[in-house]
Amino acid sequence: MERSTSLANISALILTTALSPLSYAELWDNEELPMVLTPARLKQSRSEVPASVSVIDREMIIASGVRRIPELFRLIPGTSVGARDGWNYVVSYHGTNYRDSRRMQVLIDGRSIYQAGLATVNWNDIPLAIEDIERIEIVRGPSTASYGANAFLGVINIISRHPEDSERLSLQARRGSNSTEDYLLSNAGQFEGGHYRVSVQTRRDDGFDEDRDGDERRDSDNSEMINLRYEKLINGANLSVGAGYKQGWTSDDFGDFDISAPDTQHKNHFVSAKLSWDLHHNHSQHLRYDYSGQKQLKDWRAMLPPALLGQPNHPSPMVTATANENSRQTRQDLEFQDTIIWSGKLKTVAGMHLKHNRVSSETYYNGLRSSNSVQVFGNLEYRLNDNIGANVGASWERDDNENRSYLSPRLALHYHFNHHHSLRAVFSEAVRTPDLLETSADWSYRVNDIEPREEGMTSGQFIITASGDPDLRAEKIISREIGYYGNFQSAGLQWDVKLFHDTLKHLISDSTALDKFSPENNNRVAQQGFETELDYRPNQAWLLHASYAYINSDSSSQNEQSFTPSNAASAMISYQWRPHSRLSLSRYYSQNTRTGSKKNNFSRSDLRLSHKPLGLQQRLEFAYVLQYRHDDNSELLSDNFYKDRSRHMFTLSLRLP
Amino acid sequence: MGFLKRILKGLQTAALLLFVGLCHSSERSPPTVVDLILPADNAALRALAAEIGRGAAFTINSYIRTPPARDQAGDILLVVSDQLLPLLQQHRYRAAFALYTNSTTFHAVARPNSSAVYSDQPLSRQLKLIEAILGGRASSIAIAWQHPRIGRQIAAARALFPQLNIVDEQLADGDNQRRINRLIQQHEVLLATPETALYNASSARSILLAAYRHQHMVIGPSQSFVSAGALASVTSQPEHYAAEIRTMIDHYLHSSKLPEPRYPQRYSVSVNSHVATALGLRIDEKILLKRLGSN
Repeated sequence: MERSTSLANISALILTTALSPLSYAELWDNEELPMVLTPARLKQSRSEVPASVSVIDREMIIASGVRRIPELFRLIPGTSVGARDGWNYVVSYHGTNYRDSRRMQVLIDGRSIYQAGLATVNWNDIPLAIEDIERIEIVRGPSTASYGANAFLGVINIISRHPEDSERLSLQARRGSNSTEDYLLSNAGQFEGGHYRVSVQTRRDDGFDEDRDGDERRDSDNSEMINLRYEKLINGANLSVGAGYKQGWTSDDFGDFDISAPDTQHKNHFVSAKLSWDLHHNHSQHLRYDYSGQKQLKDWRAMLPPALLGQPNHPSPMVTATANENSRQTRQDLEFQDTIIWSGKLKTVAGMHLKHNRVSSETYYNGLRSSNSVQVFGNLEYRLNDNIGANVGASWERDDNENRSYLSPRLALHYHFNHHHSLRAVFSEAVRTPDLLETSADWSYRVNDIEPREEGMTSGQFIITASGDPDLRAEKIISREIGYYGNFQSAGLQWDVKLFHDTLKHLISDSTALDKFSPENNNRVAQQGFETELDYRPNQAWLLHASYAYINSDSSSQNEQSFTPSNAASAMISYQWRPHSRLSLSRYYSQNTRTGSKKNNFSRSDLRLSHKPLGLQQRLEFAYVLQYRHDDNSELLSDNFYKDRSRHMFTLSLRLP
Repeated sequence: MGFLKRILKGLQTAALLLFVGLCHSSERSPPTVVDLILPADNAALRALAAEIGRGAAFTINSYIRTPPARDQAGDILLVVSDQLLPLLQQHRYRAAFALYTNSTTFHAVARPNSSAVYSDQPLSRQLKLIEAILGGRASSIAIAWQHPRIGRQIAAARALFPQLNIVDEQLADGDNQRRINRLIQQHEVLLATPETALYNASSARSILLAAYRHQHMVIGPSQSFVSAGALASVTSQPEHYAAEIRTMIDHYLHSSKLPEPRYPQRYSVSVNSHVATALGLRIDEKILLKRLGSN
C-alpha cells in the first residue's frame, strides 16, 4: 500500500474543502476551516507497513556531508553502493550484479527515473540537487505488487522539499579535493496563487585519480541543471507540477583503439504533473502524467586495422574512423489511483499505470525501438482486531516487449504487541521484465569517415556485434521475511530487525559489454540473512543511526554475488551544540567474503563540522567535510583509486528564510 | 357535617396561603433581567440560552443579533461571539458581558463596565497539555505570535514551565506563512496561539499540511483546528461557558462588582485520533485530563 500511504505521498495527497461536522464554535463564529485529514487517514505507520522500510531524512542528509545522492544509501542496511567511474554510481539492495542499477525502482516525487532504453538508472542524470531533498524512503524488499517491474529488489523513493518549506533564497558554494566545485542558487516564493521553488546548480569534479597502473583516470563530471517544483490548490484539488533540465559532459578513459576522447554529452529533461482530489474524506484519487527524455551524444575516432571494420581490402594497414554511442530515449507514464477508507478496519488502494518507452540509437538498435506496458495494481489492508492486521496486494503487468503477462502477489501479516511494536511476516513475489536492450539490441559500431579515404571504403562496421534475445523471460524473485519494528517514543528510539530468505531465478547476468553480451535467463541466487537498523534521537541535539546486515549468498554465477556484501555496517553520530554548531561522524564498512579477496572491502570514515556565526542572524554557514578511506582498495571495479586516503570539502552557504 | 367542616378548613388554609403569598410578593423587588443577544437563531444557541438560565437568579430575554428597544431593555446586556462585540460600545445597561469572545479582540474593544468569558484557552493550559502528551520526552515547542498580550503570556508561561524548551518568534506583517512553516520544520511541536490574524481558515491548510509533511504536532488553538487536523487542544464545552457566565453574573448581582474578564474555569481536551495515529501516538483523553488536573 506504499503508493499512497507512504510518507512519500503525504504532501501531494488530496485536500478537501468539506466542512467538519458543525461544531459549536462554527455555529457561533461561522469559522469554516478546511479539513486536511486525508493525509493522516491514509498514512500507515511504520508498524503497519507490509515491508521493511528505511528513512533518510534531511537531518541525516546534512549530517552525512555527502554531495552525491547515491552515497546516502550506504546508511541503509543491506544496500550496496559503488562507483563504476567517478560519476557512474550503482545502488542495489542486497547487491547481486554490479553492472547496472537494473533491479531497483527509483522514484523522484513519484516519477520513475529508470531508463528502459539503456536498461539503467543513471544517478548522474538526475536534475535534482541533494540540498533540495526532504526525505528518502527505501522499501527494502520486492515491491512489484505496488510499483511494477523494476521494483524487483526494492524501491528508492526520493521526496523533494516542498516549495513552502524551502528558503526564499539560498546560495551555496563548495570546493574540495579532486577539483570538486559546486554552486547552487535556489529561490522559493509564490506565483499565481501557488508556491514554487526553482534551483539552478552546477557540479564538477575530476572523479577518481588513477587506475591500477597509476595512470591518470579520465572520469570527470561537468553538470549544469535547473529544477522546478510548483504546488497549487485549485478548487480543493491539489496540482503538483515538476520540471527539470540537465546538461553536461562526462569524460571516459581512452580504449585500446581510441585516438580522440570518448567523452559523452548528456541532455536530459522531464515534465511531470499530478492532480489529486478527494471525492469524500474517505475517498481520494489522483491522476499523474510524466514525460522524460535523455539524449546521450558520444562520438570519437578510433584507429584499428581495416579488416576489423569489414574493409579487408583497404590498402592501409591501419585506418581511423568515427564511431558513436549516441542514443535518444523518451519515457511517458500515465497513472490513475483510487484510495478508499471503507472503515477503521479496511482500506483499499487500486489503480492502473500505462508506460511507453522509446529509444533510437544507430549503435545499440540500428534504428528505433519502443515498448508499451500496462499494470493494474491493488492492495487491501484489513485490521482483524487490535493485535492482528493483514495486507493482501497484487499487480498484473503486461509488457509488449515480452508479450507475456505476470501476476505478482504480496501477503503480509502483522502482530501488534501494541501501537508501537509489531512483528511482521511478509511473502512476496516480483518480476523484472527484460528491457529493450536485452530483448531487442542490434548492437554494432557502424563507423564513418574512414581515413585514409578510399573510394567505396569510407564506412564500415566493427566485426564484433551483439544482439538481444526476444525470447527472454522476466527475472523472478520469491521473498520471505519476518521482522520486528519498535518505536520507543519516550526514548526517541526506533529499531527494526529483519530476517529474510530470497530466491531469485531466471537471472540475466551477462555484462552489457559488446564482447560479452549474450543475455540469457540462466542464473539463480539464493540469499538469506538478517539486517537491523537503529535510529536514536533522545533530543534535538543528538542523532544516532546505525545499521548492520549479514547476507549469505549462493549463486550459479559469480557475477550475481559480486555486489552482495557478506557483512555491511554503517554508523552515524551527530551532535549539535549552541549556537548552531554541529559535528557529525559517519562510518561505513562493507565486506564481500565470497570474492575471496580483501580487495573488495570498503571502509571509510566521514567527518562533518559546521558552524553558523552569530552575525548575519545566523544565515551564513561554513561546513568542512573530511572523507578518510581506511583501506587502499579500488572502489567497486579495479581502476578506481584516489591518490590520497583523505578528501576534503569546504562549503559556504547563505540562506534567507 | 364532617364533610362541610373539612371543606371550610380547606378554604381557610387556602385563603391563608394566598394572603401570605400576596404579602411576600408585594415585598419582593422585580427580578434582574438579562438581555441575551445571540448571533443566530438555531437549536445549539437556544440550548445555550436555556443552559445559562438554568437555576440562575436572573431572568433571560433572548434576542437575535439586535438588542430590544430602550423601553423594553433589561438590566444587563449579554452578547455572544466576537461578531456582536460592537454592541458593547454604545450600550445603556448597568453592566455588559460578552460570552465566547477572543481574548485579544475583547481587550481591543473593552469598555469599563463590561466583562467577558473568553472563547480561547490560556497558553499555560495548552502548554500543560503538551507536557502531558510528550510525557517527559524532550522536545522543543515553537510559538509564533503577534500581539504583545500573547507575548506577555509566553513570558509568564516560561516561568511556569522552566522544564519545557519553548522557542517563540514574534511575527510582524509580511510572509508569516513561510515563517510559521519554518518553525514547524525546526520544532516538534507548534503551539498555535488564539490569534485569528495568524491562525485562520486561509492559513490552516498550509500549517496543517506542513506539520504532516514533517510529522510534527500542531496543538491548539481551538476545537475547529482539531477537527480540521491539529493534533489536540484544550477546549471548553457549551455547558462550561454557560456555567462560567452564570457564575459571573450572579457574582455581579450579589456584590455589585463587575468581575474581571476570564477564561472558562472548566475545560476538557479534544484530540484528533486520526492525526494521533498518523503521528504514531496513542492518546487517552481521560489520562490527559487527569494529568492536566481538570475539573
